[in-house]
Amino acid sequence: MQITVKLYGSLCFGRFHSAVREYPDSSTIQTIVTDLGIPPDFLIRLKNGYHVPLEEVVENGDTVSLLPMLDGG
Amino acid sequence: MRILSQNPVTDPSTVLYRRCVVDLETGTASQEDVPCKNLEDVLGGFGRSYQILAERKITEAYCPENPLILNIGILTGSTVMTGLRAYFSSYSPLKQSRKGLPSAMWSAGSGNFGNKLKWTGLDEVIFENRSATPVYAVFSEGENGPQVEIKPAAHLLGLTGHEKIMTLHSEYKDAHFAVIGPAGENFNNVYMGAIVLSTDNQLKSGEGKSRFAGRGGMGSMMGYKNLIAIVARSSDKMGKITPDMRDVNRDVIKNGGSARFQPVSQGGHGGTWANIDVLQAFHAVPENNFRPKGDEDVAGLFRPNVEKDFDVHSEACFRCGIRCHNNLYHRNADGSRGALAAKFDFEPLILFGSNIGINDSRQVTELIHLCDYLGMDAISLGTTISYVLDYNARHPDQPLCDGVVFGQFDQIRELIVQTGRGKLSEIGRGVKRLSEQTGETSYAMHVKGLELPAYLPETNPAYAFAIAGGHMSMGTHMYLAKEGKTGLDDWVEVITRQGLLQVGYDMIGLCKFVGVGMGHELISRAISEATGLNVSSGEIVAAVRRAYLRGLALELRQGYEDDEYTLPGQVFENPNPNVTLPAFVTREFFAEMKLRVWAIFKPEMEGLLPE
Ligand code: SF4
Repeated sequence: MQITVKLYGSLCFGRFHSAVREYPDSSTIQTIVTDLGIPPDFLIRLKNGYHVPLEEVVENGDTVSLLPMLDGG
Repeated sequence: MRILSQNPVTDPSTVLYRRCVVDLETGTASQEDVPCKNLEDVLGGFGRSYQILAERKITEAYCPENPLILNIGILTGSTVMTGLRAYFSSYSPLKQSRKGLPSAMWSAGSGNFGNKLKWTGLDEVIFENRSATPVYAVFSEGENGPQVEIKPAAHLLGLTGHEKIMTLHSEYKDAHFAVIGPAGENFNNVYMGAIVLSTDNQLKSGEGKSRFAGRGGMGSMMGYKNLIAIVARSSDKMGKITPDMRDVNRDVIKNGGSARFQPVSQGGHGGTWANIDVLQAFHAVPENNFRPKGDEDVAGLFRPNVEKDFDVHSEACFRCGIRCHNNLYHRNADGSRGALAAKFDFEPLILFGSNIGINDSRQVTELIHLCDYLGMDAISLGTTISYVLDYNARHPDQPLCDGVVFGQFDQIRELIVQTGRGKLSEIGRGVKRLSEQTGETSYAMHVKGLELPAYLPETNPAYAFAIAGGHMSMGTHMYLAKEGKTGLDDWVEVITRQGLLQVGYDMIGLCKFVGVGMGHELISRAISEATGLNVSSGEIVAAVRRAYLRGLALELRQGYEDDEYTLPGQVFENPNPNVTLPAFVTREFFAEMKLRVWAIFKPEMEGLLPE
């Protein structure tokens, strides 16, 4: 199935900003994070604009956004 | 600090800290070892200073009885990485209840000043009264203990904060400095004066790489006291790093919390600057006075775009491996690194950038630099200016400040100069007072009289419970963006549990960018390794909680009423459809949240203040 993956901030460096990628059925956010070699901690994960856990299953046509979890100061 | 036993919880009086009281009116000083009353005293910072402030009934900030307290945390000057913080506490000229009473405030800063003060042998200085003439104070290590001198400072007047530091450095090579800029000198018209702290990098390079204790007008308090600078002289006394301490420091660097602030080249996310990318994904980057437009105008401030114009270099405070500073340098014609342009942190970047309609990084750097040199709090200044620009957009026929509008760089630059030099009290006294004068308060971005940092109020209802600055004293400003949580239970829980613990860093002397909660074993390990004291994580959390609640109780004692625990009216009256995060902060939600938070806090606040 095809998933649009969007990366933000430093997660883009050496990767991409936005790409349509192929994943097997029943893939989760974790599958995508692992595939991209992104450490899973301190990550904001959105599916179609909504916050979701790493275990969230994705479906064909979904958009997954991954953002670094930062803080202020 | 003298530590006579290992258990500061059951027997805090066996830990004694060295206090110096300086009477600026007479120019005399006295010192004593003070036994700690509780664990908050032992940990230090605002946990200790607020207990001193609570003993005084102060009805106006600019009065001789209002002390300015300089202190450090238990880990300041230790070998724990980031352990270099100094704290300034007083009743604030800026933050004031509707009854007109000043609120207690503290402000924290890094650099190397806190270390040097610790190494003179002092843990705390209380500046009493005010000097009739401009002076600076010199604290030095002496053979028989810390020494104090009060010296004339007329030659420093009018200089920028950086110039004052470099002038003093030419005389005191073994020292670090806390000074005020022109803003603090003009305390009557500028209530948002910052204290400017020197860094090693600054003294070596001669460039303006200061750090700041900005919030709440502590620099203005110094100005009122006619105390233009503080010099801390000592040899470097950083102890030998033990193997266990090396492990602590390795964990500071390796824990995912601090990695977020480390340079991209080091595997981190590049400091707070990167917040702009995250928040823009939700169109939640403040633009035009905290009113995102739903467009991509802020992209000019994204790192890759800024790197086209500047050489961006990661730097650090004294011996800090987190290296969160993103310093921007001009490029010479041959491509080599030129002079420093500014330091890019999220707050000044946004508040002197998109929030005032400026998205050209060259212009933003100039405004940040100017604010720093004049010695003002970037948050209070930027947020008050954005109000002026917003007001003028709404009232083109009767504008404020010569009708400056969003995006007018030259005119905004002039506003900053005029404010910092004490010629524009409308801005210098902060947005609460200005909006009360104009009668248009709903888009004045402050809570309880302190200007908001660069996180939208509609994404953080917990601002109401921050006691010393929206994001420095309540760790919830990114909660919605990070977690997406909008439930009442979630917000009550985060405010009353994790959020308030943010203030713990302003007790112990470490930098928040260590990035772990106060209950993390890393904190108790660091204290144990640096001091030999045995304090459990639970005991640290309990002490931080008491200190926070004491601060909240002190607000109530200074006249704050329930309806002052609120957000700018615009949040409820006119939600911004451009922000794609959930719009959940209704009046009903907010009222219920407050009721539940107070129900938890109020019983615990009893007995925390002296009778
Ligand atoms: S994390 Fe940043 S601000 Fe904190 S001590 Fe290190 S370099 Fe300084």
